[in-house]
Amino acid sequence: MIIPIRCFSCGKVIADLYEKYVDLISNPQDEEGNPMPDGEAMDKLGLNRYCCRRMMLTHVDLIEKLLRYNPAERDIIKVSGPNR
Amino acid sequence: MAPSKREKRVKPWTTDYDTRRRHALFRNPPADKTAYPSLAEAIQPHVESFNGLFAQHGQLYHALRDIGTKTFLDGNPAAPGDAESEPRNRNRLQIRMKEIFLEKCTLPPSNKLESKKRDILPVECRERHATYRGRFRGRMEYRVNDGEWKETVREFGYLPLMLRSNRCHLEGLSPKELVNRREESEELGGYFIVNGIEKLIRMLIVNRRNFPAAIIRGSFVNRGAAYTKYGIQIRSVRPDQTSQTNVLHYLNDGSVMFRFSWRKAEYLVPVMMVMKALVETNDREIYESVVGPAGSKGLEDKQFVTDRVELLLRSYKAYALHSRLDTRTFLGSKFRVVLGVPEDMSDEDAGTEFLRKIVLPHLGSYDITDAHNADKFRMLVFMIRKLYALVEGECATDNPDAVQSQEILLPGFLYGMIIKERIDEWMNAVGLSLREWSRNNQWPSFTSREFDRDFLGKVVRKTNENIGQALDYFLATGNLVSPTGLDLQQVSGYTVVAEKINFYRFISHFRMVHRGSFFAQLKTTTVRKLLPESWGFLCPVHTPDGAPCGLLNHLAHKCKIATVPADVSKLPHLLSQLGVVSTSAATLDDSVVVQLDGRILGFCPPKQAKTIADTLRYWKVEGSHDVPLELEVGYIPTSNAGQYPGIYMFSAPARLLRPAKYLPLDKMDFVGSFEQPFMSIACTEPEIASGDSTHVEYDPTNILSIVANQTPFSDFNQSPRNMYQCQMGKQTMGTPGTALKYRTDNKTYRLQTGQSPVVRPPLHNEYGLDNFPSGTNAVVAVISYTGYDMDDAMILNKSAHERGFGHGTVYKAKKIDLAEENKNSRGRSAAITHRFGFAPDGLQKAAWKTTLDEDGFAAIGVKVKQGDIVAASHTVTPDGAGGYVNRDGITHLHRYKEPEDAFVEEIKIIGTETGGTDPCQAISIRFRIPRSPVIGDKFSSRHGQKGVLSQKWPATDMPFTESGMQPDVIINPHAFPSRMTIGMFVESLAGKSGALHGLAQDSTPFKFKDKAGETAVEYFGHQLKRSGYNYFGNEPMYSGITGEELAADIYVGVVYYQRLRHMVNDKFQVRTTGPVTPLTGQPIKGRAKGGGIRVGEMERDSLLAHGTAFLLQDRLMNCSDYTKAWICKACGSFLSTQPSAGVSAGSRQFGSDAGRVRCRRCSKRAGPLDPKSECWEDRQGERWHGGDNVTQVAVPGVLKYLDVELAAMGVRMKFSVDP
Repeated sequence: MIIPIRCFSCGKVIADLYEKYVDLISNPQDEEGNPMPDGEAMDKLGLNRYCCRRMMLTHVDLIEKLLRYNPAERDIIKVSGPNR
Repeated sequence: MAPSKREKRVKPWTTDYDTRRRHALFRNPPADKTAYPSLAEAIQPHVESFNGLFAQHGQLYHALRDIGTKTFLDGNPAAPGDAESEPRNRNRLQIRMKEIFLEKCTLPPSNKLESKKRDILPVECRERHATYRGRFRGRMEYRVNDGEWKETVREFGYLPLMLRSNRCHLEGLSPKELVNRREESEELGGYFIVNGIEKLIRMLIVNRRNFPAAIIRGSFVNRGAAYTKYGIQIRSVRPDQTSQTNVLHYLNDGSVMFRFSWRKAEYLVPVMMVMKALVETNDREIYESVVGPAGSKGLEDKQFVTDRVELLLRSYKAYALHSRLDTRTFLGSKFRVVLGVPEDMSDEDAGTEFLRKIVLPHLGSYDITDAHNADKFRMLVFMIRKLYALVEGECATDNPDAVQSQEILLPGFLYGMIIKERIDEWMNAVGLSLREWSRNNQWPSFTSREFDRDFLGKVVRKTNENIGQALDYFLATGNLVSPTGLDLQQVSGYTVVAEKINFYRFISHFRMVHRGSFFAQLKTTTVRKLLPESWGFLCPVHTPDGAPCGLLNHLAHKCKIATVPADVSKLPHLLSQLGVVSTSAATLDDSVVVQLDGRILGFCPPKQAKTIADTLRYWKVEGSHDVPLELEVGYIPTSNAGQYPGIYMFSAPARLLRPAKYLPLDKMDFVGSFEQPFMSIACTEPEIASGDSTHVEYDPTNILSIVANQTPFSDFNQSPRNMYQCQMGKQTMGTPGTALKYRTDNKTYRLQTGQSPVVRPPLHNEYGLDNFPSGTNAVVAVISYTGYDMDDAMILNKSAHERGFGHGTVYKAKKIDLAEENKNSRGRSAAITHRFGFAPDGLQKAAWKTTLDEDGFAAIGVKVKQGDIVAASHTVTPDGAGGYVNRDGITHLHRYKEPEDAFVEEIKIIGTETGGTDPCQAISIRFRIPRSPVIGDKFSSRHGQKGVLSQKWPATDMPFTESGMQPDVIINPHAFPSRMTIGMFVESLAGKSGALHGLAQDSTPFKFKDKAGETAVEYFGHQLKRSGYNYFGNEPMYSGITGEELAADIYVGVVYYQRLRHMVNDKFQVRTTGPVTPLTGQPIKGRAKGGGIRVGEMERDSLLAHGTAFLLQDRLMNCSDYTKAWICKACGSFLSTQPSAGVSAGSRQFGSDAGRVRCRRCSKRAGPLDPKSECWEDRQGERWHGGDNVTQVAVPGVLKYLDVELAAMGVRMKFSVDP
């Protein structure tokens, strides 16, 4: 859901690196405008052990999806309610 | 319909993580179309079959025409017979249904408050525990005699709607719009919402339609004297998808009987009678059509058939029915009552009606012409031929358990069948109501004024028009209430709850195919066997073990089901061009049949049949000559006593189809389950045999279901382990969905720290499974470390646990409905008698306010334990001014009843549907129970390797590797040798290297070879080696306790672990004392009631064997029904002892003997000589002497009960008591 604070196995703090990681793998990093491959991005962030790497690599940031169901749902209903 | 025509395809998914793309989809759900088309495809059979119901010329259109017009007569049928009561002289009322309409779900007209937004969205029904249903109406027309048709629109109540169907507000919406309607972005629909519960109609396997199957069944012999085991059965399906099974039975004397069942009763008719009624024919024509034209080649070899046909014809002479008219009149006179035809119908017309409704209705069920009847005649002839061939041993039986002779009963079709039957029944009910009205009103004429006035207002209104309610009942219970049985073999179990435990579970419901509950009781296991015919249609792996094994199957993930008939109107013409002739030769070597959907198009020589089949296949894949791609061309070659040869083509819906590549054109072809056994489909490209293979599989994994495909490297595992994983995948605590806030499931499980697996097939992304993560990548060490990992237990790193590994939550929704409390007053009065909140002038205790807020509901976020108050209500009575007032000042409290502590997550206040100002009567409270892993919770890898958590081992004492890493999970190496789940080793290896290289590893089975240099181990070993790890995945480890290096290198890697929903907190059962059964005094059973666990026969045996007598005594006696009972030593009886009321009247004030127990049996009536001090008195005041040789013994309470039972049968038990 949200990235765990620490790596499950070794306890390295990783939550602070996630946004950097997503930035590295999404936005252009080299001259040709390619984002960084997942592995290199993790190397750059200093994630060396495979325990921390799998935390970063396989995290599913479901919170983004959950935020679509806005608690201020009145807005949703107003904007695009049943009859729009 | 052809999928290739879809413009602008979605970018195909690969194995990659696609974190960026996924994030984009999460943040901005696409506004045009779904990113996971395969997912929508998977549930198509459900939605499309429902869409066909109300489509133009859809299922119900045909149904209404099949029902036709009902005719009722006026006048008293019991009146003395004069000319006026002759049926033809009475007035006729005719009614028919013109059309029926189903609306979308909207507010009922009684709600006048809301003017604009009248739509009810599915989410509202879920939240309100209501049914998602639409107004259902029908236009009925009626006329008297030959007058004008008058029309009226009848209200049939509200019909439950399928989500995302063409009657749903969600139809065709994009993910973005779905999210705005508070649905999942990938909401698939295909289910119904009934009382807030998501229900779906399960797909059912039924016999293939319109194909006469040869069967040998021993039970046929029981039908009568001359009956044999041979039969030809055809399930004939009308255009409205209802079916009628016809069977031909072979009798010992060579004649043939036609059997059918009508309204659950079975009838037998000589087949000759049916044939003669169908067409104007003569014996010679019948003879020649069955055995072949006179003088044709090979006739002399057909002695067997000719003899029998002669007998068949001769034996029919006994009926002396010669013309078609005679036969029809005879049939009509016999079946008019059974069929319920109008009284004024002639016998001949009744006979025609019989042929229309019962005899092979797939060849014409309404608007019958002579051509239809000729088709039926030809089909019956063919069936007789096949029957004789079967008896003669010329052909084999068709296996009814093979998918070849099966099709699927689609949910929408079943729904439509029930609707049709309900409408039919309702129209009959109008007739009954009319009869009653006539009787009560001295039989008025239908032309009278009274009739005009009363027909709609009184007659029709008296009938039960609520068809919607019947369907509601069907969906809620799964029970089929039907006078005809709908030609199905079961009456219950049609619907299941679409449980959203996790996404695997949910999607599996829609791909599930059940064989029928009739077969579940069958003692033979033949129906459960996995047959090679199922290849590519049913998943060989994905079936549960245990009772439903092999009966509950799942469709292979590429298997689809035709839902609309293909257009085959050009086919008959095409075939006649290809040289199909209308008459058959005598032997199968000279001519074989060509059928299309159970209609005989003609005959052709076997050699030509092959050519025709090949040509048609070429054309159909090519898309030329108007041959549809979905057409199934079942070519059965001539063989030596094999399946009956011919070309059998099918275009009807409900067939199983799957894609395969057609080699001559290198194009996609749909292969049906009937044709597949006689085709040559290569499994992989190298296996293509030139000159033989016509097709090749797109992918060998196409035979697996969606869930079975997710098992990584399943080809490395022992096969039952893959089956176990399919079960456990569906019990995993995962992510049921993201719109959880708007759901009210009784119980939902949710994993907090879900991850995407490192090792997965491309199908993982294709089916969007990252939207619903269901496990965690764990660092797993295979080592026997602490002793706590024996017997499939696993050890969890305590720090990993504390950092959130496997943390989960359970949500429970409880509905508190005040209206239900009203119901105990007689009837369902709509009057409001309760409302929520504290009684206004009543006492409000401070203790209540610890959990409750001022409004009388529990405060959001408050922790509640068993017995805590979660809502308050009070009684009200109307105050006369439209409001309600409380008069007693008493506040009623509603408590939290579960034993487990929970937090109040959310309270939904449910208003009335009418939207009036009435106070709300129901609330729905959602409780959140945090469930972090505790000892005893169940975990599993994806290889059927399940185990319970036995210890949360402190990280300081865990073994560590050279880089200082400690495993999250430790499992015992003994879990592997006997189970042979090599796939788990490979996954561990692949997961480790995948994490190191930042790769997602493709785990599709059958990708690696056995050849040296191309094995999986080498592939991943080299990857590991490149990143500086041991080639074999081992790492040196150090003991966490001593710090010394362990003697052996330890196999460590990354494995995807699932947390299963079986948790100790739902299961633990402890009891010291508690409730007992009143009869025996033994503890009651049941965890919920605080009962005990039975120490059964086998447990007792083992305790005996161990010699643990004290424990045995303690369990079976002291902790169970230990009782002290009085027994008479003299007569050895429990039953005769009784407490005395006192010694005697005189000395009662001393009270010496009162309460002492005596034996009545051993006492005699006190005489005057007996000393007063030794006498005692019973409760009736009778005086007795003696019987004081009693003592108290400890016995099991049930022993006394046994004594009483035996005494009731006149058996006395005598116990000898020592010393």
